[in-house]
Amino acid sequence: MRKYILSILFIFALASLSYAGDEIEVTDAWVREVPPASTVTAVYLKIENKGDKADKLTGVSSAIAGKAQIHTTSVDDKGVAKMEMQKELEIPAGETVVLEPGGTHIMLIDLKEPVMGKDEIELDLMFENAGEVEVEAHVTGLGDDNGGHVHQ
Amino acid sequence: MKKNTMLRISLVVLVLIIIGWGVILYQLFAVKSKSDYYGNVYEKEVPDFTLTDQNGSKVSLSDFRDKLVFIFFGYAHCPDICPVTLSALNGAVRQLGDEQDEVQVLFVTIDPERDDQKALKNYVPYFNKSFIGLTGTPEEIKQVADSFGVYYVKEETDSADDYYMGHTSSVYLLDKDGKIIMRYPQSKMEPGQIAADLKKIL
Repeated sequence: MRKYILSILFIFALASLSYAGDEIEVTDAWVREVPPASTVTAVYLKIENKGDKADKLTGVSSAIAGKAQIHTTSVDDKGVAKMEMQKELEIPAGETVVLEPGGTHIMLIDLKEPVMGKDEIELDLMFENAGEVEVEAHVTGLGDDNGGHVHQ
Repeated sequence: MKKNTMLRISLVVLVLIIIGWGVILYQLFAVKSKSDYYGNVYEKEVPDFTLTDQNGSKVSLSDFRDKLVFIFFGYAHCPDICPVTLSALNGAVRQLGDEQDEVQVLFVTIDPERDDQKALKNYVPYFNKSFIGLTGTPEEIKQVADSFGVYYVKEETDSADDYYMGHTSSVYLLDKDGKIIMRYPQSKMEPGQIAADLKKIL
């Protein structure tokens, strides 16, 4: 009997885990193509929290980078741009947080292989409640060979 | 009674005069502040300078006396603002067609410690082969930045070899005499609109 209860509990636990994972949806992920010798680049994406509980992005990792951090660029009234590292990023319930150029981005540091020439790269996003979410980010060029295309 | 009427009339006349002047001043001010340009009109003389480009050649501002010059201060390790800006400038210049030879983009590093000739060669031409990256000694860079009123500061992070630069993110446009005529803040990075300004000036 105890065995049954345990296994039922286990199934419930599994079900709630996968349910939690569905509450966070990451879309429109792209990474900026940078010249081959560059050691840093930025990833932009949208995080939607479909649940009714706030969640937090607490960490990011990628096999191609030594480190990945959440950064916010801000420009003050004197036009001075600064980057500030965020330990975590709040994703309020029912809202979509957009990471875009000139605002918050995921910075990939110490690139181990060039982003240029790849179609996409893989990232792991860690959320406080939803756990790990795997994301594929498309490589988007801003260089002249792309005709100066700016990602919209 | 008569005195009172006179006083009233003078008061009315005075009020009318004040209103009239107000209208005139308002119109003068409104016309002055209405700019025909997308960029912010900003006029400033800057002294000539000489720095080293990504190929090791000495380059002076006065070398471009027959061109409009964009100057942007940034650094190659900058993952967000700098690529966005250089890409926008490329987009703007590309829209000029044959006239693009009359515009020169200069990227001046405010991180000469890391941005040597090689780092700039890897970075700047990626956005446009005609763009020139400039570096120099920290003193040389400081002098040029100061003359433009550009501010920058090193921001240390938790690891010793990593740091970011806080820096003035506006792009300066200089006329063919080497004088600043326009400033483009980060909120004005639309290539088509910048190109329209350039066409008006050229």
